[in-house]
Amino acid sequence: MTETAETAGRAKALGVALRLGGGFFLAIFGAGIAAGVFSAWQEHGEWRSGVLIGLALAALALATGAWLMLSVRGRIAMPRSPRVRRSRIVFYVSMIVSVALGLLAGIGGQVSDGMPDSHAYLAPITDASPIGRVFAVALLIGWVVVMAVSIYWHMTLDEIERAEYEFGAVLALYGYITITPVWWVAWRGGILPEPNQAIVFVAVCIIWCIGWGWRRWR
Amino acid sequence: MNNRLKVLRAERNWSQAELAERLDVSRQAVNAIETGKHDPSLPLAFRIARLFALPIEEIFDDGNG
Repeated sequence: MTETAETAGRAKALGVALRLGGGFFLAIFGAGIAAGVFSAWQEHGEWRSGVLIGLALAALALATGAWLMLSVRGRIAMPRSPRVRRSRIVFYVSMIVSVALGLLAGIGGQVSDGMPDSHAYLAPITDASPIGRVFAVALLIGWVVVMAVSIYWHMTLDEIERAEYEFGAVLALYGYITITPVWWVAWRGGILPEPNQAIVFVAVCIIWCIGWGWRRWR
Repeated sequence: MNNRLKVLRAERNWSQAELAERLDVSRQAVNAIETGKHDPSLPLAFRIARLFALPIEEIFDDGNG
């Protein structure tokens, strides 16, 4: 490789890194602004011009971040077969729907609780207080959509990637049939507090991710 | 199981991504097979053999041949 080509290669890599880094920074910055604006809006309980300006600023930061990240897509894209491309698209769709559902659960949970404190975002995971029927139905429909997309995504995977996820799933199943009875017996014996299915759910998901990650990068 | 996938790929000057595209699998899948972390299924082994126009046993070796 000539010196000119090497320099051009380094400049290209630097450009990609700067755009990706800037994109991530702006996306996080935008999400931070949005979170702050929503929090302030709940606290004051009314629409103010500051809310609109804040939301517009957050949208601008998010859009610029997304544009920066998408602008390098062509430079780092690798050849992919139609099935792999479809699999990746379905995965991103699943992620977007999941994030939207998470935001809905988080914001909806805070609004329905009426307690805009700094720990309220944890409420959808561990809180068992009643929620509105419409809100519950919306979350359930969203969850069914996420599961349907996930199952379709699973079918688009090649055998190696599927084996990685299935290894994680088996590990998660072992985790579930270990944690559930152990916690239940420990609770009855007065060793642990009453079992919380939400915590078990999160623990099983974490075990699944660990199993998948180990199999993928071992 | 040992295999000659990396050598065969290098002979054709293909990247892992290019081979993956030809086999209709992900690049990670090609890497997993090349490094011996995963043994391909029989259908995938046949696809690999057809792509390189070689018998399966000239690509994969179970050490008992």
